Amino acid sequence: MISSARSTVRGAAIEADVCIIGGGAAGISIALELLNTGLRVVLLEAGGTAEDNADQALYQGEVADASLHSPLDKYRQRRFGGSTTIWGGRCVPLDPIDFQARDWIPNSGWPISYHEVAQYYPRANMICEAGSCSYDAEESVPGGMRPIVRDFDPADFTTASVERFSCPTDFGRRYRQQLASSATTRVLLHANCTRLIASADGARIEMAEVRTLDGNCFGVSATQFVLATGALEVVRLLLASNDVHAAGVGNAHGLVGRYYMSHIAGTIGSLRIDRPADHIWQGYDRADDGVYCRRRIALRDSAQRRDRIGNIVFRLHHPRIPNPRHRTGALSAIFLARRMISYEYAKRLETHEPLTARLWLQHVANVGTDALGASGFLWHWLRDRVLAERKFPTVIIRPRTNLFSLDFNAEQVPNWYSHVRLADRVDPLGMPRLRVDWRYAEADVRTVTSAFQLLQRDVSTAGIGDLSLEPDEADIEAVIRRDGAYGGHHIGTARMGLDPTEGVVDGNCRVFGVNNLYIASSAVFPTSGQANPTLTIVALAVRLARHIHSEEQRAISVIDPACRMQTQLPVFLTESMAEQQA
Amino acid sequence: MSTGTPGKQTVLVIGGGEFIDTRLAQALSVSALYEPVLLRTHADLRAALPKAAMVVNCVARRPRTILAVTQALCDAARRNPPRRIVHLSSMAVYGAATGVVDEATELQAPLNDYARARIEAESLVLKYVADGGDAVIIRPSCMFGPESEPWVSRIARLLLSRRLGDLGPFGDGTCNLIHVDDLAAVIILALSAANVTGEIFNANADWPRPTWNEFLIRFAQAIGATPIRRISALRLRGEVKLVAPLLRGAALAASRVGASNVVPDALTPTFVGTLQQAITIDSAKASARLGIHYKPLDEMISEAAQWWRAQRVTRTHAAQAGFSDKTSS
Repeated sequence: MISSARSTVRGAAIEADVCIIGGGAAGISIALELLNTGLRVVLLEAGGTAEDNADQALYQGEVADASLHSPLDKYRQRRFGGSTTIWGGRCVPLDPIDFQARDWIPNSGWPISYHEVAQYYPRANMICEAGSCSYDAEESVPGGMRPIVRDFDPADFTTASVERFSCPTDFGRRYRQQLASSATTRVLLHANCTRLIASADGARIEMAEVRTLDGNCFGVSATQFVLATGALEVVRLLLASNDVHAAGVGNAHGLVGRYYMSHIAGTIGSLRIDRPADHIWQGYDRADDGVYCRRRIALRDSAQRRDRIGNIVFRLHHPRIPNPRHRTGALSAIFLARRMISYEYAKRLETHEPLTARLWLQHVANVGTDALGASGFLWHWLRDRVLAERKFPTVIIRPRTNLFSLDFNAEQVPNWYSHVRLADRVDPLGMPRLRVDWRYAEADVRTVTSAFQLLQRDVSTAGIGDLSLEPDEADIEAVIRRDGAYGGHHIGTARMGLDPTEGVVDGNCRVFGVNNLYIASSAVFPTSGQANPTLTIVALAVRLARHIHSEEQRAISVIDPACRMQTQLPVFLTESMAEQQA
Repeated sequence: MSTGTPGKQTVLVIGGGEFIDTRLAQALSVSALYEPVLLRTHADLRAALPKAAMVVNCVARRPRTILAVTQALCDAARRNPPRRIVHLSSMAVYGAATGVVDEATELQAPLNDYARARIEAESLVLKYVADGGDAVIIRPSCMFGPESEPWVSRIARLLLSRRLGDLGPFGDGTCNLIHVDDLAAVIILALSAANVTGEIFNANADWPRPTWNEFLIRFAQAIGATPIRRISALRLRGEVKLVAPLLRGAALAASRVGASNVVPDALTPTFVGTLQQAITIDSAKASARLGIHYKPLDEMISEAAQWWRAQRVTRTHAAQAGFSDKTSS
């Protein structure tokens, strides 16, 4: 059932077995996994089914350095489906090395193994609609995928690893019907959870306080609570729930909001490939199941260990769009149309160079001289992206020369100083807003610099061409700063650890010291790896759902009623009593 | 009652050219206990019944025929009672139910005339039992396997023409299938099972059931209808609401001139509704009481795909040789 919190009886206390806070990738995945278990599930979604300015404005907050981090109401969507309503759909599992404690990366190592998560990737793939769980270029497509550059077998990189793409699936739209038709699942829209009300001893969460923008207020009491918001809202809700836990729920050791990570990502370099055009493939292949797949150039574990750097991947990319020297009509057409592109996707089109009339004319000239290429691209985009249900994932434009750039996505080391905390200002619901101070470290710069140099060497050794930095890229740190924190990848703010001194949650994603509160979010990742987080978020959510189900089955006979009696709850009535009073 | 072959009991299989009656007759003919007599002209029913020890009513398709034949069978059986009637019904009796349904589930309002006829036919059979007759009702899920027109041939054609594929939310329904040979085995077990008079059995493979999307993707891969196309909601609605009525009209017109196979398949509301329906047919009772074991899904898909490919090759060769391209069902 799906209904609005605005029409829920004021002052009611809705009872559930499991209360999920957040209707994005994680929350919806958990609700799906619990659909046929018989458990009564309430899912609280802060937004409605479409973007709403008033809801979205609740995300606004402060950013310490606006040149490094996007505004907090960008890349996040406060509506049913969460940020899957705007995501790009890239699905990549983490690598085994990402889970290992590496002495050259402080605070690395997960308390659970790669295999513990990997067993849930197939189901996560299904939920994300990314097809079979095959991330090997030889297996993903019958007969194998086309090589990036024929006979290019770099020593320190592998081109056999693959990224697969979701439709991209808007979880809210895709799974709405399944949740709506469930007799045991209740989705409440416009339901902003403003506080987690803990028992007097702080060992349990008794109730989630819910407020709506039109002034309604009620509570949800449950046996288990799952905080399934993004990594920023996790911090907000935990720290704002400070009436019993003075420093905030789960924050006894000051870790909530610390180690805030994203990915170090951007576009770098100029790769000239001295091979015939048909020996080079920068595009997508389609698997049997219709899913778009693409090879990456991934740094091998051995090179990471030898050079004591983080994980990183490169992708063959078209030249930087704002620079008209690419002489490619389609790229210039995109640049000229960038005002029509959403903020999240137009960010890469920003240029620090002044937008002079000369620059504009050069782009216009590119479109004119390459009108066929530009119109061909527009037709392809209309047919394969705009009108297609499974969308062509990204802009792939073959440059007129064999001159490419490299897209990179690198691990960011966990950094205590990179953090999210509550700001002084509050939103219209009385919730403190957030202040984000995202920082990168010297180790992050070294990962990109070293990996780029290794790839330069491999390109040179293989004799396939030449990889160099553009004149304005000599300072790689400046390149990193140019693109800043990768939009939407909010990671690590409630990290998983072996004990409360090193993590906010344990290996089962349960908040240390609070027996019935779990976190399903990239907030729990102790390290970021190189992979986009959504697939792993969903895998962990599936794992958590199964854990909660087994816990619920075990707990049915051992609930301690005294535990509830110690709680001093606000005056919330049962739903039926509240209805009678109303 | 009489037996054609010494030691074997004659089983009258009443069909209407359905593929289950042929497969059942084949299965019966290789058994040591039974000898099948396939009856496709229902006018002969009254004459044929006295010669049969048992009867299997496989009549399907037209609602009017289902009711007429079942009524005629029950009437004739009251005069010349066979040892047992096994009446083949359908999961369609569960209507729009969702979740797990077993034989005790209360039947919902029928979704169409076919389902209504199925429910009424079951009532006729139960009345016959109440009157002292011996009958068992089987409710099979979607019958799959070589020669299945609706669940193999039609789906294969639609997948190859890219009109069917990954349906997104429209393919989230539960894929309830039973292999035709497994269904034949269920029927044969029901013929001789003790203490099952008046019982109803769901017949549905008991492996973990995929969604229809998962099945369609696997079947498309097996027949080479790849890469699979994602079908949008808009397109599917257009197929169901606009294209299907036109195609059904065209098929009707074409059938009058003997050319129904030239009209493309229609994505009817019933068919698309089935793919969306999250209903799980619980067949635990049949497993426990009749002891049936079902063919694994991979094996079913592989066998059906192999048959489909072979059939295509044969038809292509026949067409090249100038013979008719008529598809048998």
